[in-house]
Amino acid sequence: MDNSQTMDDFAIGSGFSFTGATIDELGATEYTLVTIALDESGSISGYETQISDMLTEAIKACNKSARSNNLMVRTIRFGSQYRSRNGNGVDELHGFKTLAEIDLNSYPKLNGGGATPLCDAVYSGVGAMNAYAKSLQDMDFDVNGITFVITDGGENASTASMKMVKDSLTESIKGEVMESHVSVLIGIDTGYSDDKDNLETFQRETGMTQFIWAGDASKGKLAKLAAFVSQSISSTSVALGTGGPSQNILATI
Amino acid sequence: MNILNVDHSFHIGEQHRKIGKPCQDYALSGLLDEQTAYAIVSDGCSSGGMTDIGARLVALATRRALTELHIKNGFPAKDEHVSAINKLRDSYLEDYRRVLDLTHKDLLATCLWAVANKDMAFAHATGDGMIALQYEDELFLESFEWAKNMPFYPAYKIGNMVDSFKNVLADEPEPFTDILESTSPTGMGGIPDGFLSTHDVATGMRGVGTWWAIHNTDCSGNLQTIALFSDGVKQVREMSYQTVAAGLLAFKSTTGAFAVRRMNRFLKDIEKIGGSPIDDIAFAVIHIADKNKPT
Repeated sequence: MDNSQTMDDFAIGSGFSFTGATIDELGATEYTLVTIALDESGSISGYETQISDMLTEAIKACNKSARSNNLMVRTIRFGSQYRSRNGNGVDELHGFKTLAEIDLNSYPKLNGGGATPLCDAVYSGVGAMNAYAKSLQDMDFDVNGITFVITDGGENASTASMKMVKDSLTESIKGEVMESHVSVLIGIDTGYSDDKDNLETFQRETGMTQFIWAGDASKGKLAKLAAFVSQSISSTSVALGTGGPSQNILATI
Repeated sequence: MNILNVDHSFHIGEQHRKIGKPCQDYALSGLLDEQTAYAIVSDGCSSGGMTDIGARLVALATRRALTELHIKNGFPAKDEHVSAINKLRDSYLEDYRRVLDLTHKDLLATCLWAVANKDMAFAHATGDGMIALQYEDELFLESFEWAKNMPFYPAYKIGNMVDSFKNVLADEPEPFTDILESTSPTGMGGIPDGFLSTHDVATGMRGVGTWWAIHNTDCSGNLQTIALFSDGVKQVREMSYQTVAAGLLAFKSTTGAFAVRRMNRFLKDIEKIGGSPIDDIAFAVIHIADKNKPT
């Protein structure tokens, strides 16, 4: 990945960690933190390119936002294949960095394999956001955040527990570490499993803000998903400073 | 190696917000070259005309004068350089007034400006306001006040209003006061009130200019920050101005919009204890980071 922005290491706890741009070097007054977590389990096989394209399109669209200088994005992928290397099922493509520092060409090709550590993904996504947001707040930056977890299947391989996920989500919306936080679980249908009900239950039980079933993982649907992600990021960033979250996100894609 | 960071911030006060008037304070900061920074603060007179515009024009005219004369003279190391800057500022201010078809009443605004490089800092004040000098181990505050709350404005001179100004203050033999104090209980030789000196109208009209060395061998340590404040720093509900100044200078980092971040957070924090700026408040900062020293 492009590392021209100096990155620091942070610990979340329970063996999870992340990286983020050195806060001393950040210049804006406020930031919207964005985490995009992509499922890389075996069931997405055959859809890797479309999902990768969705990610790059979403980031590209964010660059056109009037708030692009106030966005910091972290991208992770999750699959049980990363557990032996990282101790959990999450692999960070890049930590929180400003959009200008993200080199879209350096995103690795996704390669579906392994089971679905959904709790690990949400815990890493939200836990890292809580920790980085707190560090930013302590340095006088105003912060809010939005987390997208895009998956085709329910939890079956995590080291993080449901309680860890719930606790991190609860912390994220208390208003103590950031002004507001929206977490969106997005289900896509890759044909191997139709986990809509499981995912809906996961969202409800963990306390994620919203569940959206995007339907089949076709190119057209994923293009719409990319637009949805970038628009949601933009509206979240516009809402920063108002004291509340962005307008309700459309429930369908 | 010293690195200069600059930023500025201004915020409307309760009084103007309540009656729908604009913020009449303005601030600017920037670099004159890679190794020389400037900061400017201007506070428009509440009973003047469109002094929100006036304050901006004073700041812009000052910046133009600083920029042009920096090319010619470099760092303003002599009295004549300082006088030349103020004179050129006044000349541009009059030009702007004519182009915009404004009155001199619209230009009634103070002018505090500072310049610093890796070795020296200089600040000049016309009107009221405050200069803060944050050394490694001590914070010094130098305030400028006028009797009857009637500060001298550069526009009085260009608008031929000096005699009227003098007449209003005729019963005040020394209407201009300069107070230098340290916020450290052991600073200034343990004198908590610092040094107060009063001056006649002519001295106040000339303004006050002071040079400081960045590298300091006494117990205060090196000069780290020069900040200019409008007099709004002295009108924050529930707080002493020393606390306000120290709070606004408590930067968590000094990159990018660091003064704006500090102002925003400071105002948010003091709101919780019932504090808020009654008058508009502005500050402009030059921060000198010594990269050879561990942070």
